[in-house]
Amino acid sequence: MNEYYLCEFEYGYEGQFYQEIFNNQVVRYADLDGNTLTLEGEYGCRIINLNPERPVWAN
Amino acid sequence: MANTSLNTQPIYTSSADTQWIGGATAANTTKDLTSGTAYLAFTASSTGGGYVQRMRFRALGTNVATVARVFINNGGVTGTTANNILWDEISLPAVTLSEVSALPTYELPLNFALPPGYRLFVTIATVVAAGYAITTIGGKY
Repeated sequence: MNEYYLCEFEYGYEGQFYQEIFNNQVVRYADLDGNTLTLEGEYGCRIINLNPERPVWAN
Repeated sequence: MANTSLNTQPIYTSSADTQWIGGATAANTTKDLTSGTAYLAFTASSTGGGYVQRMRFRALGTNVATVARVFINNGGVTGTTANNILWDEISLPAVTLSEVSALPTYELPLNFALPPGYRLFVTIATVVAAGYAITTIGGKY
């Protein structure tokens, strides 16, 4: 089952997003609505919640 | 004619200098160190400089795969591109915490001298949960 970290950007982009993880590999980044984020260029981010409430759109 | 001012004798550090970062977790994809979270891994002695032998990356628990980047900084502010240079990278594969077997340690050879006040910074490229303990082994001139 996928895990989710709730993260926020430090630079490059604004706002919060989920880092979706399966088997300790990053599967994708998703916005709060579950849409896949394609990150381009340089950016920084950090985890703000390691165990957030599971997103309603999560499988 | 030979240049007699060159140093022909090897020099050794006068004292050991071990510095570390307790837990690197924030991601930063900068390639010039001018933005975002960067972890200060080593500061060379402000008087005689220092020598760095190696840097060890030790997972503190379960982490997703990432890459660590090591930058040399000349002691100036990191926000200025000309003060920093990307020196090397090392892949840090995903690891899962275990209480019955050791997690692997990853090591980056350094083996170079740093002028007084120069610094080494580390960034990691994806956010990780448990983080990495990063230890630099070196000495002070």
